[in-house]
Amino acid sequence: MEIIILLLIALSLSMNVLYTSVTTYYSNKNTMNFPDKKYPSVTILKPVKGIDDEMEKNLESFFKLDYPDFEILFGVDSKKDEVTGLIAKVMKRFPNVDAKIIETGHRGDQNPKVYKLSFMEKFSRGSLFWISDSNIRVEDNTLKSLAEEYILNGTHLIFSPIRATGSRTFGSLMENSYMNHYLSGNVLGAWVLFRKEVVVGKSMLIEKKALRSFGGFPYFKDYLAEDQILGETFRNSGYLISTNNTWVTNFNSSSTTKSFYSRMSRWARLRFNIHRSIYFGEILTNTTALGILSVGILEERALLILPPVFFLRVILELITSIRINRADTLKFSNFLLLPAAIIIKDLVLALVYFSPFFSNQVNWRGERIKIGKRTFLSNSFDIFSIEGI
Amino acid sequence: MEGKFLVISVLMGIGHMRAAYPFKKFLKNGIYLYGIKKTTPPKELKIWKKVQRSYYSLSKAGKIPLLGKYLKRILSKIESIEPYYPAKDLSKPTLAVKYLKFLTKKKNFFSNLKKMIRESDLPVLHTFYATALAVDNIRKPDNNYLMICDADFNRVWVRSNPEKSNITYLAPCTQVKWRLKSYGVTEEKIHITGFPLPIKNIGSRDKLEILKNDLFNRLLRLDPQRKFFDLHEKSVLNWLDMSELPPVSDQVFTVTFAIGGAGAQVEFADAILESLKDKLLGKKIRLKFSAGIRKPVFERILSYINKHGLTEKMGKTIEIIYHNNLSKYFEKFNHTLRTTDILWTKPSELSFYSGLGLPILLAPSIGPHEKLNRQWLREIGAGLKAPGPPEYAHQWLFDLRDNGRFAESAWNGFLRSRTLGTYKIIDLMTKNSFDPGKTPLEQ
Repeated sequence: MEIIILLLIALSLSMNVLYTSVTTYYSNKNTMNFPDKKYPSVTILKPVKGIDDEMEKNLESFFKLDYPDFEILFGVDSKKDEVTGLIAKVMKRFPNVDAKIIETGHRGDQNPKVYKLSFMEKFSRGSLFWISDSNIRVEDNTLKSLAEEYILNGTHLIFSPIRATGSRTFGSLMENSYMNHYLSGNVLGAWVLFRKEVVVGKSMLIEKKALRSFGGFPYFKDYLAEDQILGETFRNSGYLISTNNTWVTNFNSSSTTKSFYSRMSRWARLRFNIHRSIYFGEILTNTTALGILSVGILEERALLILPPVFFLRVILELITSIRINRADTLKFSNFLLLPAAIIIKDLVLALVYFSPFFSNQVNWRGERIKIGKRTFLSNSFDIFSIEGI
Repeated sequence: MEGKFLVISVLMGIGHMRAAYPFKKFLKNGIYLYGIKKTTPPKELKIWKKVQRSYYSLSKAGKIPLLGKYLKRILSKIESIEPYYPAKDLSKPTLAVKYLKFLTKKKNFFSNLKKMIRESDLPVLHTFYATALAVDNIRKPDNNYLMICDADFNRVWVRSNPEKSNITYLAPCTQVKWRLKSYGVTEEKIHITGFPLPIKNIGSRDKLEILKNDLFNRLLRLDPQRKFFDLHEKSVLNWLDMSELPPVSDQVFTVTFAIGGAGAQVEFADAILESLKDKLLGKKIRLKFSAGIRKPVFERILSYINKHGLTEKMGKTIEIIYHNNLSKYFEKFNHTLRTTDILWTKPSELSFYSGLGLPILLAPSIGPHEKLNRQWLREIGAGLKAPGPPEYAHQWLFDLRDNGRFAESAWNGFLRSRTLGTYKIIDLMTKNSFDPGKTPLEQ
C-alpha cells in the first residue's frame, strides 16, 4: 500500500512535469505570413450575455485583428441586454469592420450557446467560423495564425490552448492558474503525446463546409459540452482536427472562490459524462490530494515526504504561470498568494472531483440543467426517450 | 377520417414504427408509442429498455471477433421459425409465448396501455405483437388488429390459445396467412391487406399517379439498353397508362443503401464507397445512404466518405439520409425512394417496399425472419442477390443494370407485391371491411 501511494504521487508529479513542459515549450508561436496566399473569409461568432471583466478591451481586440477578410457577428438573447450598448460603442469606434448584433432570443430546451450559433450561422458569409467566448482576448495576428493551419494542412477544426490572465482576486488567481497549467497542459499534452484533441469552446476555428455536412450547428444542440462533442464528432466523421499552438487569452479578474468552485463543478460533471474512464483517472493528477491521502497510509513518515512533494508541485505550476502569464504572475500580491492558491485550488478540485457521483445537474447561467451520457440534455429527443412522434 | 382509430407501436429498430407511420396523419393524437416515459410505468420501462438494448447489441453481435458467430446463433435460436414444409400444426405455445403471458398476466405489464385501451372503444392497430396480445382480452372481436411486419414470423405473435383470441391479423402477403393458420389462427381472423406503404409515394388509390410516374422513369433509368422493354414494353405502357417510350438515353441511376435501425451493416458503406468511388466522381451513379436516426451511424458513413476523398460529392452524387427525429427521417427517406432506382437493403420490412416498384438488392439478412423475407422476395422475383462482394459493386451493379435485371425486379415487385396496404387498412379500421382487389392496380 505504501509503495502504491508513493508511486501514485510520483505519477502525479510526472503529470505535472508534463503540463509544465508542454505549456512552457509551446508558449509562443511565430506567425507565418502568406503574402501571396489568399486568406479564407472568416465569420467570427460571438455568443454573448451580460458584461464580463474588461469586456470592452476583449471586444476591441477582435476589431483590431490583422486579417484581410472577416466579419463579426454578436448573438444576444435580447437587445435589452446591457452588453448590446457596449458592443455598439465598440462598433462605432471601428466603422470599417463589418460587425452586426443579432438578437437570437433564447431556447431553454437546447444548448443555449448552440442555439445562438445556429441562429447566427444563417447571417454569416465567411467560409470559416471562428467561435470565441466573450471573455476571450486576442492578439492582432491570432486569426492569421489560426488560418495558417487551415491553409497549410486543410484542417477542418482548429482548437487552441488558453492563456488565462487578469487575476485580481484569490478566486481568479486559482481559476487562471488552473487554466494555464491544467487545462492548457491537457490540451497540449494530449495533442503532443497522443494526437488526441481536447477541444475547448473558448476558441474554435471551423470550416463551414465541413460543419454543413452535419446540417450546421443544430446537430450539436442536444449536448451541453458542445465543444467536446464537436471535436469527437469531427474526428469520428473523418475530418481533420488539430492545433498549431495559437494561444488565446481568457480574461478573468473577479472570480470568487465560490464561483470557481461552481465552474469547476460544472466542468467536472461534463467531463464525467463524456469520458468516464478518463475522468476516474483525473484524481491522479492532483498531487496535493494524493499527498494528504498518504498521511493516512504513511503516518508520520508522510511528514518527510510531503514538504518536498508540495514544494515541487507549487514550483511546477509557478513555472507554467510565469512562462504563460508572466506579467500577471509577477505582480507582487499575486506572486505571494499563488503558492497558497495552487494548494487550495487542488483541495477544491479534490472536493469537486466527487460531485458528479452525486448529481447530474449543472448550473449554466442561472439555469439548472440535467445532463445524461455525453452531456445529452435530458429534455431533448433521444432514441430511448422519444416522447411520441 | 381523423381520430377514428388508434395506432400503437414500439421502437425496436425502426421497422415497427415504419409500419405505423403511414397512418400518422389520420390519427388525432399521433402514434401511441409504448416504451417511453410518457406511456410506460418506470418499472416496465426499465425492463423494456434492457430488451431494447439487447436487441441493438444482438443485431450487431455478428461483428464481434470470435464470439460473434456464436452470439448470432443464439439470436437465431431465440427468433427461430419452423420451416414451412412439411406443413404441420404449430399451435402449441412456445416458451416465448408463455413468458409473455406471464409478464402480462402475473406481472401486470402494459398496465398503462390497458388503461388507455379500456377508456376507448376505437379500433386499434398494433404493429408489434406484445401490445396486441396484452390487450387481447379487453377488446371485442374486430376491434384489435395486429399488422405482421415480415413475410414470416415467430410463434410469439400469436397467443397460447389462438381460438380464444380476439385479434384480427393483417397480413402483408399470402404466405403470412398460411403461417398464421399453422399457428392456429382461424381464417376469418386473417386479412391479406398488404404492408402499409407511404401514400405520398403512391398517389390516389384509384390512379396511383405518383407511383406510376416514378416507376416509369425508374424503369427507363434501369434499362438503358432496352433489354427489359423489348420483352415488357406493352405490358408496362398498359399498366402505367403511358403512351410510348421516350428515346433511349443513358441516365445516371440512383442506389439507396439502407442501414438498419440498429446500425448493423454500416461497414458495407465503406466497401461500397471504395468500389464506386470512380463512378461517383465520374457522375455515373448516385449513391444515397439511409442512416436512420442514430448519430453514430451517420458519423460513421461520413467518415467513410471523407476517407475515400469524396467529401466534395456530398449533396451531389452522394447523400446521407438522416434525422434524429423519426418522423422527419421517415419523410426524408420516403421522399428519397421516389427517385431511388435500386434499394439495397437487408430483407427487413423494407422488402414490402418492392410494391412501390423498387428492385430490392439483397444485403445479408439478420435473423431468421429476414431469411424468409429474402426467400419471399426471390420467389416473387423482386429481390436480387448481389452476384459479387460489395468491393466489386462497380462491376456487377452496372452489369445487372445493363442486362435489365433491376428493371425486371422492379416490375415484378410492382406486379406481385401489394401496394395499397395503407388504404386497405384504413378501410378496415374505419368501415370494418375492405376490397382485397385482384389486379396490381387494385391490390
